[in-house]
Amino acid sequence: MLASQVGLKPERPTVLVVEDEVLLRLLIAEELRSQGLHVLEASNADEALTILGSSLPVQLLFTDIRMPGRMDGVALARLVRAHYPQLKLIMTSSNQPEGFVRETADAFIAKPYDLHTVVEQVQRLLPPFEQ
Amino acid sequence: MTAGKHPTPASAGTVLVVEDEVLLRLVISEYLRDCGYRVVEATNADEAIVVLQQPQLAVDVIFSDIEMPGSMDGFGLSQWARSHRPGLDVILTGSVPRAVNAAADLCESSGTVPKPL
Repeated sequence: MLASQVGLKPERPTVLVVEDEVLLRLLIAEELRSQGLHVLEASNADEALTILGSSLPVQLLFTDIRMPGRMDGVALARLVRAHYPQLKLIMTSSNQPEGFVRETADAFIAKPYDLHTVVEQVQRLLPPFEQ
Repeated sequence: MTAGKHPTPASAGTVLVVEDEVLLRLVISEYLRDCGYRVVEATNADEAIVVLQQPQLAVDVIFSDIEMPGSMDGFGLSQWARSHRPGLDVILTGSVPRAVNAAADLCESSGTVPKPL
């Protein structure tokens, strides 16, 4: 029901961007929207879990690792892998990825990154879609 | 910044939605995007001020909840906007029904026929 309220179209994949820096979140979200994707924004892991626990169909989670709050991106990734195993997962950080991240994420993008890299990785992991 | 394949079409304006409840922020933001607005999302007044300090983002309207965690509530944000960005429209919503009505009014003023929210 929430999906129809927010105008989600089943043919358009949905990406959930989790980033606590508002300007970076905006930059990524607008770039992915300009590629025809549907983008939802969360500022921390708790917000991301609220969205994932709603009826909104999300195909890909793009999350920063270092975030304030009770859970960082690694803890979020552990929960996501346990409860939403079908979800594609891209993790990003300015630090080198630890073992769990290397083994678990479908892609890791080191910060600072350019938006072309983000778009390429997102498109690689999602099925082709009609725009 | 990379130029997207689908640049944002000429929009009805830019709305800064400030709301700490994520699902409400999401629904209001998507609704306003469907009405032709470019929407910037902020989870609290501190994030909103960071956005408002970026002249290239050219916010036209602040659409803000009143009660929010952080250093400032919606009234404080409104006062900040009055002193630093005079002329900026500020819409304060204190409840979900008020937020829904205000979003529908904004939608109508964009020239788009709003769908029910």
